[in-house]
Amino acid sequence: MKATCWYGKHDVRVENVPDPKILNARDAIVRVTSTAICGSDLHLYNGLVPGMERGDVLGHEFMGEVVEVGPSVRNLEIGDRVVVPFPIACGMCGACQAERFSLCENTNPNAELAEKLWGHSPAGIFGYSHLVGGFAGGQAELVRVPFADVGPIKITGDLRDEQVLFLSDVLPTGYMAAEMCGIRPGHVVAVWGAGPVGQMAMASARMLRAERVIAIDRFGERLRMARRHAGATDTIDYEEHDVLESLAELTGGRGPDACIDAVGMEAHGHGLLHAHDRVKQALRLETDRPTALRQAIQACANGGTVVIAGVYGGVVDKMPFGSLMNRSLTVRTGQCHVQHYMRPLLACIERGEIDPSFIVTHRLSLEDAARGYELFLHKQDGCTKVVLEAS
Amino acid sequence: MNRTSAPHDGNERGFASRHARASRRQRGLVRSDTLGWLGVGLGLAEVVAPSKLAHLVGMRADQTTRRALRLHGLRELVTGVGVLVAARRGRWLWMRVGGDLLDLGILAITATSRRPTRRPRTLLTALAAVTVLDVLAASRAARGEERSHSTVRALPTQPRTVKAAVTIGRPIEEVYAFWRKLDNLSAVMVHVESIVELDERRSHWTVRGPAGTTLEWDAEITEDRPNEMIAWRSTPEADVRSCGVVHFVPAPGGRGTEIHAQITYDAPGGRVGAMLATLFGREPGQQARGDLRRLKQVLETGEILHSDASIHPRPHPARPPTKRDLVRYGIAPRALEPPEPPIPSEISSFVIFEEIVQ
Repeated sequence: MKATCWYGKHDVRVENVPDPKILNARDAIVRVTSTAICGSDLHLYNGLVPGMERGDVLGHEFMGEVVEVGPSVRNLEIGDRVVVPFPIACGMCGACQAERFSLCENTNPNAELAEKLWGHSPAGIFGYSHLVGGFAGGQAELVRVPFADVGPIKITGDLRDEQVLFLSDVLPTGYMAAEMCGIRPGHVVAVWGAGPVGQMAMASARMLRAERVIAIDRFGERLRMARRHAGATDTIDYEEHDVLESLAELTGGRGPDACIDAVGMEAHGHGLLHAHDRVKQALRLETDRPTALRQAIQACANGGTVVIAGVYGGVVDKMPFGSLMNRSLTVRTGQCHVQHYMRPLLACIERGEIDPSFIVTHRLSLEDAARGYELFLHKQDGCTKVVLEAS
Repeated sequence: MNRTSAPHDGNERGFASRHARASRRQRGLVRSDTLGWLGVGLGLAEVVAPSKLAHLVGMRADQTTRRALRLHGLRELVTGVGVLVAARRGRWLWMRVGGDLLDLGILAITATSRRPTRRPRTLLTALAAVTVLDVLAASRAARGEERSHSTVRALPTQPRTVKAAVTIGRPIEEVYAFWRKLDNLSAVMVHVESIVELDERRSHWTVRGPAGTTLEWDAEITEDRPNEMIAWRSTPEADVRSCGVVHFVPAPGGRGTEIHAQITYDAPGGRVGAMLATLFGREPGQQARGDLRRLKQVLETGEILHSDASIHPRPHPARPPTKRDLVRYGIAPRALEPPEPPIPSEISSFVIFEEIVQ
């Protein structure tokens, strides 16, 4: 089969690799119809995530048709149309029982590696380095889905792929970020990063009745998308305006009640501190550039909530911890527990309350994956979300 | 953690003194270990300083001699290490005998040639003596008399203790019962080839050691309190002597069972051996934690999960395995079969996790 393989910084290739096989009793094989390139795939593309091997198959946002099931999978049949969540979860351990699926205790065969870096191991993730399992990803024609009786959700209606594909990651990730804000009537939510997750977080914050939603980005088209489709009430172009000043202005000096970092480890910024971060990251002295997170903390209202939805990999410098502590801020974060959110969000899509397909700007075939990464990295041609059609 | 270490410390002390007694008992006329070390020493000398050695035995140190000595040295080294490390040392001792005969032959030719070495007789006598010792040791090994103190015993050892803990979301009775049926453990402990229960208390363990070696020993359960703890130790003639204790404790908040395991063993090669083992990814603490994690997987989900990369013994890209890989690693790809009811406390037959140690 054809699969998108990682070969190093800015080097992905679509190659022929062996077809996946059922290896565990609860596996299924899915023939991928649509798959997307995630903003977090760009961290891999930029060579900033440790634990990658040349030849790894990428991709953790995908959907398709079940073509084979293991003997213990009883809820799926060949021919079922499914969306697959990016974290792999067993459904039986303590974390899964508590519906915190991205913390599944049984799905990372390389837990030892993750423990060295992070203290404890989270769940395995498709196509996202050997730190989280070394599972082949879904930017391929076929993919093996472990614990297929827990993760995949069946799509029975006539919804298009693009309407449901994002149940695999960005929609639940954005929704969980908004949910973690603890939004109450009158609340103002600011979102750093108007990429796919940021857009979903804004739309979700509006669904959860946030009074105002402020989008912060540097790309005009993304800010326009936020206003037009995601319900943003205000936008800040951080290349034009000072973010902290603008937020103070927009919130009567209080600051937003909740701040969502939907940017993660590769934030852009200005000035000396940004240059310092670039140098330290290049020298591997810090793994992540937390410009957006620093701003989100500083901007947040006293007693407010800072939610981190963007991906961080390792260690960061110069965190304004005094600001967190002295101003009673709450930090909430985590890889999304996708399995927990898929069903209710599918219902929202079916009822027409949200249509996440508005983020798609580019549709390519799987063979063009390398071009897709290139476009997405450089935000060429207004690129916000690339969907690859596999078959 | 007092509750786990208290019963263990006594074991550890007893273990150390047993160790000393055992080593004294095993001193024979000439141990094959001694011959192994002799081979290693002589081999090193021949490889590192061939000219000096040639001078010492009265040979001319020209280029041919140096080259020949180096080759002989390599042979000595290989057979010496073989004698020290291999489980079946007999064949390595016979190889030494072969080498001795070769040396004797060459020496005999030089002695009768036009430019004889200066001390041919002394050399011939010494070599003949070594040959006799090698033959004796080899035939003794062939009769199996030296079976007990093979292998890694030759290296200096040092007792090491490894601790590991895991929480398993299953009732304590189930976890204890699974462990007590020792055969179950061979499926989750990747380096264990087989565990055969000999009777209520004794079992025979076969374990893959480093560099393709196999270690075997008998273990006996010294204390067994159902749903509480199991303590065991290896019998004195084991390849790697060890003792251990595992405690089963209810996890707070109804979260199942905590397993606290502690194993003390004779680390081959002492501290250096342990460091080397760490370098090659076989550090026992890591091994133990991995084993407990797989035990948790089996008890909670009924099987051990493979990822595309984890079925390979070494770093490998995360991409689907080829059919050849699956055959090589003993993993059967599953065809569609009628569903069987899940039995969480039993391992499905096909999930024997083959972490591969070539």
